[in-house]
This record gives sequence, structure tokens and C-alpha cells, in this order.
Amino acid sequence: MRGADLLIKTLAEAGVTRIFSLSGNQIMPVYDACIDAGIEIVHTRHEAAALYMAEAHAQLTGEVAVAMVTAGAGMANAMGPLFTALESDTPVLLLTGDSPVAQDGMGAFQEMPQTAMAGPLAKLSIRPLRAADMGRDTARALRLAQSGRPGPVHMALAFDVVEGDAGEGAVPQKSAFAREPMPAGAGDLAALRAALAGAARPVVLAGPVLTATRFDALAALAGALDAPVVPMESPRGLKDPALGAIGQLFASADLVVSLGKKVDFTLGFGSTRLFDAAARWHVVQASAEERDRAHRNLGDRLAQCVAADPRDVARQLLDTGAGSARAAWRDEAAKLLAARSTAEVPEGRISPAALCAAVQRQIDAAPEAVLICDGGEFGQWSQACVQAPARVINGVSGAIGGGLCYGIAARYARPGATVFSLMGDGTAGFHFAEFETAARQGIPMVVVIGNDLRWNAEHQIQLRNYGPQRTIGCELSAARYDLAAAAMGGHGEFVTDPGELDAALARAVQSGKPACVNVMIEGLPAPAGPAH
Amino acid sequence: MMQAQRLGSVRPSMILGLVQKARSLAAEGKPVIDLGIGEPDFTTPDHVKAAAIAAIGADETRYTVVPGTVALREAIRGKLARENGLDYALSEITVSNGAKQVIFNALMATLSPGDEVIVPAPYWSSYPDIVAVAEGRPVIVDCPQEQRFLITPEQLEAAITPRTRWLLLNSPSNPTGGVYSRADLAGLAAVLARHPHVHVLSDDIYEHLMFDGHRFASILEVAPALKPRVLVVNGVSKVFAMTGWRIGYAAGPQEIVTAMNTVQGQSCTHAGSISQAAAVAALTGPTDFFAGRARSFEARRDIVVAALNAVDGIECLVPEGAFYVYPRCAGVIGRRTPAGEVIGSDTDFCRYLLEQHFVSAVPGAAFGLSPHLRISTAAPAEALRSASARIAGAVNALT
Repeated sequence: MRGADLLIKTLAEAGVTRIFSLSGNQIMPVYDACIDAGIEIVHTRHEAAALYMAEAHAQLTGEVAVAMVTAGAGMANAMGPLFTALESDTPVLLLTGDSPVAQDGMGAFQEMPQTAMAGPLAKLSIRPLRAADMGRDTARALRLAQSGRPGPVHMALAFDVVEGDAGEGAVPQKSAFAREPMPAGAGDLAALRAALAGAARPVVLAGPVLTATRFDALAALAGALDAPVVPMESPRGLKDPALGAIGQLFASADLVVSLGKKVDFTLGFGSTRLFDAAARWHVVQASAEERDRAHRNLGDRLAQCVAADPRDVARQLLDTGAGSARAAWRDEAAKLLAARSTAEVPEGRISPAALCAAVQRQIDAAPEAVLICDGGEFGQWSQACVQAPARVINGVSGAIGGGLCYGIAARYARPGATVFSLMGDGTAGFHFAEFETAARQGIPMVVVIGNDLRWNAEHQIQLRNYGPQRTIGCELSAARYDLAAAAMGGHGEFVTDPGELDAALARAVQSGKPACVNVMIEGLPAPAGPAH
Repeated sequence: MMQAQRLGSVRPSMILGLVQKARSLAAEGKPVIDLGIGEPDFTTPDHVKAAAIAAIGADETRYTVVPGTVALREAIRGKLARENGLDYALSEITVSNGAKQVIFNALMATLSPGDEVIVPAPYWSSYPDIVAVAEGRPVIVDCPQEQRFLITPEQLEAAITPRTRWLLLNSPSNPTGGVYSRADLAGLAAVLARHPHVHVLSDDIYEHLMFDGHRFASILEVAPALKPRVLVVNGVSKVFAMTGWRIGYAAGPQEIVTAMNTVQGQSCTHAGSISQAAAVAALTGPTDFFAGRARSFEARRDIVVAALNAVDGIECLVPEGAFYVYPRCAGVIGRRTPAGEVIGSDTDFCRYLLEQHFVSAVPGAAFGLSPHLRISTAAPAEALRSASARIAGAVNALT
């Protein structure tokens, strides 16, 4: 048995049935091992796409997803999405081909300090040195990826390790790669419940692992705690237009509970300019680094800091039974979060809001739907204006471009769902070639491009900060993305008339192909929540 | 020229110009009696001062949240519930640097260029200027003495257009001391019910200074259904004599308050933290001194009204609140001073009073309705008697 076989058998034992990958010579032994293990390889047109797909797959299934790329620049290409998965608390395993251990220091082909590169961007970055250790190390990687604060783990696969004889190596027992629960102790839980009971206007902030897509009891938690529970996963933080006038909510809260929500820039670092100085904070974080950050940013306002897994604590809190004395506060919070303001557009032009409304009609008509929101300005529109039972967004890292990849993975994760991936025209360009992947793999999805002929987020920044006479470097052409998608085996629709939107989207859904609906929209700034 | 175009229609404060002149004359040793500025002559209550000192000692000196501390907004919510029967959530309340800033924020947040704001005249002199800075259009409606300086339902109906955004109501009024009765407000509410696009900014800053047993009423008491369209504005400057502390507040629809906070967040951020702490003490502390202060102003009103109504050429309505008297001086227009100058306007008359008789009052032109003058009764009774006698002498000296 080769090291590659031990690796793949361990993954199969852990339930992995699919690896997102882009091939390369260093990982050919692993490709070969997948055949006999019955693990599907979904191969992409760029290494970053493979890891983006793994990220979305993990979020939608709740399981560790695996991406595999080759050495050298291939590995380097995956570093961006590695950071993205770290910031979105997503458990992924990134396997990267590597030069042989036996040639370390000799100047081997694509010899590169991989663990030094990936280490700061992952929970763990390791390079097994013996084929026999592949089972143990793979199990460790899977266990760590999903335990505590979930996140990416990187394993460099030296060629002579995957090709080498695994000898005595064995697939570990299941418990070796299972998640390690970290519930709160009874004392901590009691203190948290007491704080909630004594508050008039508590707000519970949930981190990316506790969004409605990744945690199935969000509404029940809000009811159990008799408090608004607000998941936050956007890089725009308080300015996320999907969160309405959340700043007003924060300014009135007398207790803030963070369940895995970092006290970072998205919360104004917990500043008293945003949160009343008298409000007390209770933070639940599995990561020591995040607990340290909470101490640093909150000082004496941090009343309790619990080393526990927020997912486990959320489940523990489900039987709190706080009653309904704060119904008025929860209603107020709901109204504040729902606040929106939008702008008018000239007649005959398609507004971002109108496009979102048309997509919403398709989502509402689908038996099951997944929504992907990606991009700068139009990405914010879709986050603010479109709802679906399951959603993946370009998260806190602020990266854009993974939307097409997320969409493909979403269809794998939810085979019966209609996938709608919304993005701007700038964003669509990053991984446009994945239309070929989707067509080749037979993945139907609807990619909606809100096309305003520019990098609108940056254009809006230039308008605000420098004025309309000083815009530069943000204009894009009227390239026909719909025709390009069709040429790659997909379906294309080009829409300029508001009256054509519904029909074009319907055709895209019915095409059964990866469809590109290229819609010319008025380039407006994202709907500013009234507090922005 | 560095001045922005939007300031083109904003007038320098006439009131402050006359105050400056009065101070110059006083500095020259002239016996000026200054009845120009609208500031109570009481002092901030001791318990409020103590709260401020305690806040300083407790280092409450850092940024607060933009809409005002939770403690202060809770105090405001309590006051509105207790005194006015109004229920607001904390997110429907905002605190600014004085009620003037509150009004500024409200209009900046809600007016687009050309939007109209109905301003009954006489008005507090800053209203139309704030509307102009916000690029709105003030629609001035003259409300003469014969109708107690109050806008009538017929006038309101005639003034409303599709561009109307706000009606500014101030009761008791600066400069007239006029008060809208419940019947008056019901009449206005009936008109407003027919025009759902019009909001009301209810400036209640003189709420606690009511005379002759009258009870303060806001438009929301007579028409609670208007609540989604009314912004209640108030502050601690007048009855608590905290003019310099700069604390004003508003309660109203969440959407409007949120937009106001957006304006504030990018202008002054928030009202002073120490002033906020002091205001908490004011709004949650004893109010038994209110009646005494109101009676004091009532008595001083009586002195001035009686004295001026005895002057041939001046007619004075009896104000029902605040600390101003707004007599009409039509009888002096066209007459000559001993120096031979013609009194052509209320501005001329006030200049004559100040320069020749050392009494500082503000001409009605500053408040949009002439020929009148505004006399502040926030001065000692003896000073008011002397001033009234000088005014009488000044008028008698005219030919």
C-alpha cells in the first residue's frame, strides 16, 4: 500500500466521497488511488477554484471538504481561498503536492516552503515525512479542521511519501477523525444564563458557524433566549445592507453575547461609539487568539470569556426557556434589521433591486434553492434583497470571485436544489472558466451577472472620496459573458429590458445547464442601511 | 469666494447682532437692559451639577454611542411616558447638542433639494435658515396677532403641496409665547389626516413654562394616529436652565431617527458625555421647582404686558407660555425720533430703543412677522419695570 492509498482510504473511511482538484504531476499517485476507493475527482480550471468549491461544500454539508492541488505555483494559487476559509470558519482539508523529502535542500523541482506559506493561513499546516504516518496525520487534519473553531488544515504531500510504501500504516478508527466537542462547563453556562435573564435588551451575535445555513436551530435559539440572535458573516460588518439599521440595535443593547463572533472590525472593535459603554459582553470562543482579542478590545466591559465551541454552547442554550418578556425588544430588533432604503433609476433601466426581485421570484418557485452571493456592490445588493433557505456568501475575508465555484459545489452538496449564483461583472471574471467545468460535469446552475460595466464597489469609493472627475481604472467593457458561457457548453441570456427579466431567468432555470444571465443594470451603490 | 452656495440664503443671526451691539454699549458704561436673548435667568439645579461632577470623576469622558447613552435615552423614554403618555423604543430616540442640532439633523436627514417645510410666522428665527441649509424651501405662513399668532387649519390646507415634507409647530412659541390648545391642534390634525405625506416637527422646548393654569398638550395627545409622522423635539435648556450644556432630544419614527443619527454620526458624533450624564439627573430627578419657575415667568409677563398695553402705539397680547412678550408696534411706524429720524420698521424702532434708551429687544423682522418686537422676560422684575418705563418714554418722545 502506498502512502497515497493510505491517505485515500483514510479519507474514504471518514466519509469523503469527492475531492475538488486540479491535477499536477506530484499528485498523480493520489489520483490513481482515488479510482479504487471510488472517490470522485471534480477537476477545475484553476487551483483556487478547487478550494473555493471545497469551502462551499463544507458549509452546505457540515462536513470537512477536501481540495487537492499540485506543488509550486499550484499550491500558491490556493493561498487566497485558504485565507477565505480561515476567515469563514470553514473546515476544509487542502492537500498539496510537494517535492520529495529525500531531495529537501537540493533544489528539487518546485521545492517550496509550503508549511511556512500555509501555516499562518490555516489552523495547521503539516508535511508528513513517512508514508506509514499518512493515516494518522490525515485523521489528525480532519479532526482539527472541524474541532473548536472550524477552519482549513493544510497537508503537503511529498512525492516520495505518497509514492512510498506505507508498510505498517493503518487507517485509524473513526473516533480519530471525529469532531471534539467543547461544551461550556456548568458554571459558565449558569453565569451566561443569569446575565441573559437580567438583561432588558440583550443581543446575541453569532459567528459564521452559526448562520441559518450552517446551524439548524437559529430561530429556536432566539426563542429559547428571548433575545435577537444576529448571525454576521459579511466583510461589511455593520454596513452589511442585509443587517439594516443594526448600528441602532447595538447602541441600545445592554448586554452583548458573542457566540463565536470575533470582536473585530466588523463590530467596530467593540468600541463605545457603537455599543453603550454600560453594556456588558459575554464572549464564547473556542480559539485562544479570539479570546485574547476580546480581552484586548473590550477591557473591563468583558464580563465573561468562555473557552468553548459556540456550536456546542448554542445547543446547550436551547433549553434555556427564557420566556417572552422581551417580545417588544425582539420586535424592535427585527424592525431595525429589516430596515432598507433604495434609490430610483431612470425608466427603462434595470435597477439592482428589480433584478434581485426577479431572482427572488425564481427562488420562491423552486422546490429547493441555494443562493450564492458574491462580489462587491452587486454582491451587497443580493445579500440585502434576496433570501433563500441556504446561502453561501463571499465572507469576512472580503475576497470576491468564488461565486461560480461556490455554485458548482452547492449543486454537489444539495443535488436536488436549483442554485442561483449572483455576482457583478467584475467578479464573474475571476473564475469564468469554471463554466467549462460546470458544463463538463453536467452541473445546472443559474449565474446572474448584474452588469454595470465596472468594478462598482471601487468606483463608488472613488466617487465618494475623490469626486466624479477623478475616477480611474474601474471601467469594464460590454463583453458578452452570456455568449462566452454558451461557447463553453452552458446556456446564455442577455437582458437589457426590465420586461424580459422573468422570462430570461425562467429559461435559464429550465435549460438544465450552467446558465449565464447577463443583465445590464444601473450601477448604484449598495442599498445603504439607514445607519450607514 | 470660499462660501458654499447653500449658505447664500442663510442670514446671519439678527438676534446675535443686536446682542453684540448691546454688549458694546454696556462695555462703554451705558445702562443697557438686555431683553434680547432667550435664556432663562435661573441656574442649573444643584443635583444636576453634582451628577456632572460625578461623571467627570468617574472618567465618563470617552466617546458615547451616537444616539446618546442608553441611560439618557431611558430617562427620556421615561419622561415621555410619564409626562406625555407617549411610548417610544430606545431606537426611536436620539440626543444631540441642543434642540437646535436635533432640528438641524432632522431636516438635513429628510429634505431633498426643493422639498418644502411649512413655517408659521412668527417663527423661531433659525427655522427657515436651517431649512435653507438643508436645501429645502421654507413656506412662510403669516399668522397675525388677530389669530393669536397660530396657524389655522385653513392656512395649513392652503400651504400644503405635493412637495411638503414638514410642518414646524412650536408651542409654547418663541417669540410669541402663544400656545396651541387641544382644539387648535385637533383642527390641524384633521387637515394632516388628509395629507399623509406631511410630517410634523413638534418643538416642545417650552413645555413646562405654561401660565394661567393651562396644561401643555402635544398634537399626539389629540391625534395619536399621527405618531408615525410626528417627531417630538425637546431638551433640558429652558426649564432646567441648562442652555450651555447643549442637550436636546427627539423621539419619533425609527426610520427618521436612524437617518438623523447618520447625519450626527458624520458631524458631531454625539452630545458631550458629561452633559449627557447631567441630563440623566435632570430628567430623572425632582421637578417640584418647575411650578415655581413658571409662576415667576408668569408674574414677569404680567409686569411687561400691563406696562406696554398702557403705551399708545403698542398692543400686547397676553402670552400663555415661554418667557417672551411679542407686542405689535404698528403705532410707532412712520413717526419721528427726537433726532428727526423716521421709524420705518420694527428694526428701526429696536435700534432707536437700544441706542437712545438702552433697552435691547429683537425686531419682529427676525421672526418673520412685523411690525413687532420680542421682549424676553428672563430678567429681574425690576429690570423689566425699568425697561417698560423706558419703552413708554421712548414712544412718548416720538412725534
